[in-house]
Amino acid sequence: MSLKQEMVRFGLAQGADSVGVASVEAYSERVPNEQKPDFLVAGMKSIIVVTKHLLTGALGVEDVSTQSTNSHLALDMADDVAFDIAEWLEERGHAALPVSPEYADMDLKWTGAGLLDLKWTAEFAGLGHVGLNLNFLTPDHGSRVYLGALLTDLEIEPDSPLEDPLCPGLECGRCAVLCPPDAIPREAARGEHVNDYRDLDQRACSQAAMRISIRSLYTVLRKLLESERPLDTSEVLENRFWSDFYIATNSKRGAFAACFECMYVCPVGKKDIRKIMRVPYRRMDLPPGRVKHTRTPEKHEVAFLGPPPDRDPEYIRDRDFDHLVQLGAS
Amino acid sequence: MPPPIAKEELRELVLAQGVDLARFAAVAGLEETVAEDHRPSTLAADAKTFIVFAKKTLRGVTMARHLPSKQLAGGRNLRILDHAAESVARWLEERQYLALPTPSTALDFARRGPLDLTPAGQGSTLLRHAAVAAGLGTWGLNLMVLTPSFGPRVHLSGVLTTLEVEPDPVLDQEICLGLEECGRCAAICPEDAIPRRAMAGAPTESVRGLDSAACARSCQPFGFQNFEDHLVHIFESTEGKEMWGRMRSRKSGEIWTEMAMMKEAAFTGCSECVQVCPVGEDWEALRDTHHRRSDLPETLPRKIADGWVEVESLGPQVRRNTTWDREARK
Repeated sequence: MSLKQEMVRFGLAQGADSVGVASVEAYSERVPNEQKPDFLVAGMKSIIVVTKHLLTGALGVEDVSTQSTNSHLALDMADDVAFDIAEWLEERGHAALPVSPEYADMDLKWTGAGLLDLKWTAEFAGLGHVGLNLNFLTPDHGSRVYLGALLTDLEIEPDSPLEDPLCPGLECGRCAVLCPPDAIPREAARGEHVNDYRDLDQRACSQAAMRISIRSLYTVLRKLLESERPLDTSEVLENRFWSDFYIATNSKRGAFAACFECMYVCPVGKKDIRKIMRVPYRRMDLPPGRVKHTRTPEKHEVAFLGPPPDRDPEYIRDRDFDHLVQLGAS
Repeated sequence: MPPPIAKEELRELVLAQGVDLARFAAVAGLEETVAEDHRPSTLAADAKTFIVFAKKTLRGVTMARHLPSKQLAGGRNLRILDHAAESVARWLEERQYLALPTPSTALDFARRGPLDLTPAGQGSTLLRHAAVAAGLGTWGLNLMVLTPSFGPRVHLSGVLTTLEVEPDPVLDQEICLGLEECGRCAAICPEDAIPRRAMAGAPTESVRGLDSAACARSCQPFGFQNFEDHLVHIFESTEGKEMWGRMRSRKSGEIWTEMAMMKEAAFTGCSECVQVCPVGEDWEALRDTHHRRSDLPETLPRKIADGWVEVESLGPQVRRNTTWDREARK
């Protein structure tokens, strides 16, 4: 058994769903941003990427907060496996640097950017495909996965990217029509490949996925500072935002990974999507036939629906204080 | 009557928790030598033995350039050590001994504030004293514990227990080379917090020290003191636009990230002194890595005059930006 095979076996035994390898050199040449290994450390040769799926049981519940907790556990597990592999490699004489999957570096971008762009490392490592909404999809769990990674100075034979895309793009379009802040592309030129138009309005996405964070705190504070109406202190303090902000800061629930609409409806996933669709609550997210496609000779478009009305108020928490600060609002 | 436990059986149990070094110190000795506010009796009465253990830093982490990755790795070590301490304590309590994990980050603001975790978040004052008393290492110029295997590149935790174990012997020789022969930690310290000047021939014991408040500016870059200073800075604004600019600064984002995500790593933000220390069997493999070989010149600039030796302050290659804000960037 080669060292690579032993390492993959070890990673799987530690709890990873899959383990793949990308070359630092090849990744650095092709990645479309500054999130490159050399920003972290020079002299590394390989990127090792691991995936860990979100529990199907957690996807079946109505409570987004519970899902958020589970998503953080899945991410922590991916991160822990990456660290375990790093220790395993160092015990064998190689150097290894675990790469945080959630730290956002403000030297890379004012709003923060991941240390490596893990979705691309995972695609280069052959673990799956970056889909329409720039979520990473695996054959087994669709976009319901989290990623961990490490760098090592050991040169390991890289895996090959998948030959065929997993995400059908706008031929499916389910994630795009449901996205609460409408952050996913809903139109493309006819005949374009999903790899050419996959994208995400990150700022819009963060309104839902990071809805109780430092960003939303800024939004709320500014709104209160610029209120059109005199503020009643007790009304301001009674708002649920403050308790949610405390919890989000203390446990990350609501701070990151707090919107799962695109994950609920992604039809890719040999191991989980049928189980998910057996949950009555999930079947109602986007029943068959609800996606309206418009195809002209020039473009293909899907119509926006948004999440089910009962969940909609949960997502865009930036609206929380509007009724207190806007003239004429009730 | 609790069952007897063999010392080496206990050591093996501790090492099996994923730590690299494990030693035993007598609590009675620590009660006599440690300053009142840091004594074991401030945590637990009746303890007989202090089990102190260490986890080494990955080589890939020490050789890296990226400061937040190092910071996060330090936090991870502290977290792993907390879990190890919990497991050891539970194992002892199952055998009818009382046991208390003593995590580094369990601050007690009445006696031990955040400065207790300087330098570099290696471990509390008590843990470092216990490590030296247990022969795990000896004091460094900067008041870190230097170990024969890994120099200062370890983090510490421990367990106080009513089990009486024969203490391990202290190391019979200082392993820090001292200011006169080395002084590398003092030369690179970004805050000039480590003694750089001493009488020629003075024993290291009489020279070592640390300006903890200065050290904390770098090793707790967005920690408690910085949080307090930042609030004062915001509220001292003379007009709304200025206040908003300070509020919506990178510093606010970094502080929130440390509270919500980095957790234990809030104390491990600088490791410059750690990564240039030539003590430790691991040093040979580190000294010529890409980033480390350009940390300091082979021979440090130093003045020798009138019976005094002074090492020049050179500072680190990369400094953490702790003051940057959006307004300044414009």
